[in-house]
Amino acid sequence: MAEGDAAAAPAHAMTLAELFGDGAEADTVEGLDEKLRQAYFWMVNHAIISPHYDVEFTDPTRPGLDLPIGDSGLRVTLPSDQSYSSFVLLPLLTFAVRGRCLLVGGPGRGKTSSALLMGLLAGYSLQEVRRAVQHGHPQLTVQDMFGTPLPRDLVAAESLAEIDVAWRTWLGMRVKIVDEYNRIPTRTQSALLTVLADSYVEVFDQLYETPPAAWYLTANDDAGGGTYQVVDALRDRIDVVVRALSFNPRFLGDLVERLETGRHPEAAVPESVIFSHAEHDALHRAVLAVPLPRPVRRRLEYFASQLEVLPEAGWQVEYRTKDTARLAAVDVHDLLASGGARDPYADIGMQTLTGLSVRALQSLVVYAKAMAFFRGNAEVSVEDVAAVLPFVLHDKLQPDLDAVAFEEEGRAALRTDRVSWIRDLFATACREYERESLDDIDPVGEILATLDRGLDGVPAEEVRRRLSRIEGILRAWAHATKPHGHVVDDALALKYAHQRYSSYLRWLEVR
Amino acid sequence: MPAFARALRTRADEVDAALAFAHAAGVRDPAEVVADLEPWESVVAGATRAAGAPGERPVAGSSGTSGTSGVPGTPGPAGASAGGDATDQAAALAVAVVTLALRLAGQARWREGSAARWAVREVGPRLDWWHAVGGASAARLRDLVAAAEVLAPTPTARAWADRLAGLPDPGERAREAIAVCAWRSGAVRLRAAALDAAGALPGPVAEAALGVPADRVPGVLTRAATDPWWWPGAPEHGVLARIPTFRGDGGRCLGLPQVVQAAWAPAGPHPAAWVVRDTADGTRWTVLGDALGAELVPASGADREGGGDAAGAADAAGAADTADTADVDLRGLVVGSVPWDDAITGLAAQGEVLLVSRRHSYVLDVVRPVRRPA
Repeated sequence: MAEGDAAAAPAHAMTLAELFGDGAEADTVEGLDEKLRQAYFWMVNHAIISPHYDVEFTDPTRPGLDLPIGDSGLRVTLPSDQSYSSFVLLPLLTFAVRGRCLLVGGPGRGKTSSALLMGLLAGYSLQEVRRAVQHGHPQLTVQDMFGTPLPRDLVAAESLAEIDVAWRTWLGMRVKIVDEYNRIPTRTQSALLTVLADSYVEVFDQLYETPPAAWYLTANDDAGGGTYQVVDALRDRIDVVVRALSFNPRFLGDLVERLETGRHPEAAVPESVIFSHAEHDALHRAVLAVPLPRPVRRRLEYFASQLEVLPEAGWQVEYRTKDTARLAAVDVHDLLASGGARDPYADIGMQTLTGLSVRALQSLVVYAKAMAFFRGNAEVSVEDVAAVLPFVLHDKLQPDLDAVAFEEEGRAALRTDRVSWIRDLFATACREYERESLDDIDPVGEILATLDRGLDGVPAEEVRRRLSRIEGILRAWAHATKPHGHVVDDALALKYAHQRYSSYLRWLEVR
Repeated sequence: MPAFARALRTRADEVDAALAFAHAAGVRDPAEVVADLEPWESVVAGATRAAGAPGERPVAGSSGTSGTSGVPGTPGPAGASAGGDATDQAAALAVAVVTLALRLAGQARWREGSAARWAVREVGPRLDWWHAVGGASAARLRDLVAAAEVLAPTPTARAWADRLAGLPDPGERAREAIAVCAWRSGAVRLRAAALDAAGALPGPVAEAALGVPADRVPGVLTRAATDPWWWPGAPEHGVLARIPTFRGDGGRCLGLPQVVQAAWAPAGPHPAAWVVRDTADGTRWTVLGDALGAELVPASGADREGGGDAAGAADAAGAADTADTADVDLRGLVVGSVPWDDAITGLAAQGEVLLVSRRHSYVLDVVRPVRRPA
């Protein structure tokens, strides 16, 4: 019997501080952004051989270089500010905001390895993370994935409530990994959806509440090439989609060196980049606290407004949307093409078959905040939004591949390069926003801000004056503007304000 | 909830702040969370009555405190102070409960079946701790929730809650009392911490927490610290404990467990520990145990490196063929000490205690042979 290590406390012993989670409520965020950056650089420099810097930022005082290569239209951009690899950065931001990240790409490109590293950043051992990975396969059942009822209870219980369930350990972890999720049978996918979306799982009438966690799902082919079609609702819950880009053979030397030395970066994660439970909580809170200033929010509103409107889909203004056409099983492209009055290039809604859901906008805001936090910015900038936009909207914005905008010379490649296409959409929307000087001219915003201050004590005369102003703005639009998306949304906002004021006025008059 | 609502109204600002946090955190219906706290009504009402609510304050001279005004039937300074304190303490308790519940709701920890909600709704109101806690109630509630979240996945949680409910007010030693109750209920990982904490508990609290007469507590703790398998009334020889391992029975193993080796030396206040292998998938688990409970946790590299002399590391199929002389000796001791007749698939000694696995059972037996191993 070995006696030497008897005095040391065994690793499994629990102290009072651990029992009571001391430090778990820590509110300090000091240095967490720096720690997040250190984690990123450790991953790109030591863990993942990733020479791609596809999330580009430009220093406004030092323009980058955009250089042609050959005569085929190929260009390489040399950014003037620190740029990043999406394959590392987006999973890391997912870790920070405890979101849901889908890693797609061919086999052997490091999707699962990247997800494993996120588990290590959460402080789990390699063995724990590997054990917790859920491998999708066609025979995976709900009970395989989440837990099994105890046989003794199955025999003895007189009601479902008396059956205890042995829950799988991974459900309680802060990082959850589901490998090849498109090989999971549909029924199990539906159960997975409940955990992913609502953070609980039910087996035999027993509920298990899962703690907030960062989710990583992988798929070799997310375009329907898995064993099973992914449930739409599950796909919709994914916040970001990141592609594992191809390996650059010029870095084969690094791969050879790793093979020869047998070095496994995942076995040596530095302590300095591991986030404790308390730090993880504090990190999430700190990200949410990054402000989204009004000019950035307005550009985002403008962008989203352009995408949904489809005047040809209905009569009543509220129903003139792509969703109306989709629910009526009418081809959105045909309706878009029949309109004729809209600019096929500047009006970005002409290039999409769908609009943005509330969920997509929420993901967009949260990831933009995370990007700003990661870059050490005090508030979200337009560049932060632009950087995360293609990855958030990758699977949420469906292009109209027959749109005129794709037929212009040099733009055909945007049919397949969705990241560049979405970037181009946002850049176009921002240009239009600035062309219309909407930062300076926003009467609807003023009306809504006035309304937000409340109606208590506002006299009837003032209410009539405000109603008159709303009607005046709408009358002025009769001939002076085209029904672009933001105009339609502004009109609906004015209708809302008009209703609030009218109801209040009626109440004042009858009381 | 009249008493609860009255108490909250006296601290409206704090309640408003908690509600604002809940709204900001996305709690859809904070009022529903507050309504969920109905079990606290009687506790807050009791705390208010304990020293007299407004209008029911004990009059000077009958309060049992010094400093009376000397005028029978007239509220004196001491009586007024006691009543005011009681009201303040009831309000502090109510606000602490509401603030914590809303905070948990904001963190998605307040849901049907969650450990945190169970601790606040079902464990907290059963405790006899709240009548004079006042400002400390928030910290005590947080501790209770934290401990419940650690213990809830284990079968010890219910027993722990029952044991806590039988405790007198531990005063400043609430944390120690919570930990000792957890260990006494079977949370073996807390053994060392609880043995240390138990010595600091007031006599009546230690007696209720440990289930041992107060005058015997020091002696019991001293002996228990040196022998993990000793406890008053526990068997001293033969099968000391039976540890179920089958996942279907709430254990961790899919296949039959096979004892591989001892994990570390059984000295000091730590639990005994062995490494076992799940024969279905090869996963290694560390079995932690003492006379009060046992738990299987994922085996770490340190468990294996710190192991003992691997007295019985034979595989299930060829156990008898590979056993060495010492192994045979140990097996002989086990056979004479257990009430079953089965093929032993693995055994390992920690001091004079053996963990034994066998061919036809998912249960591991902790055995102290009648005759000591050589």
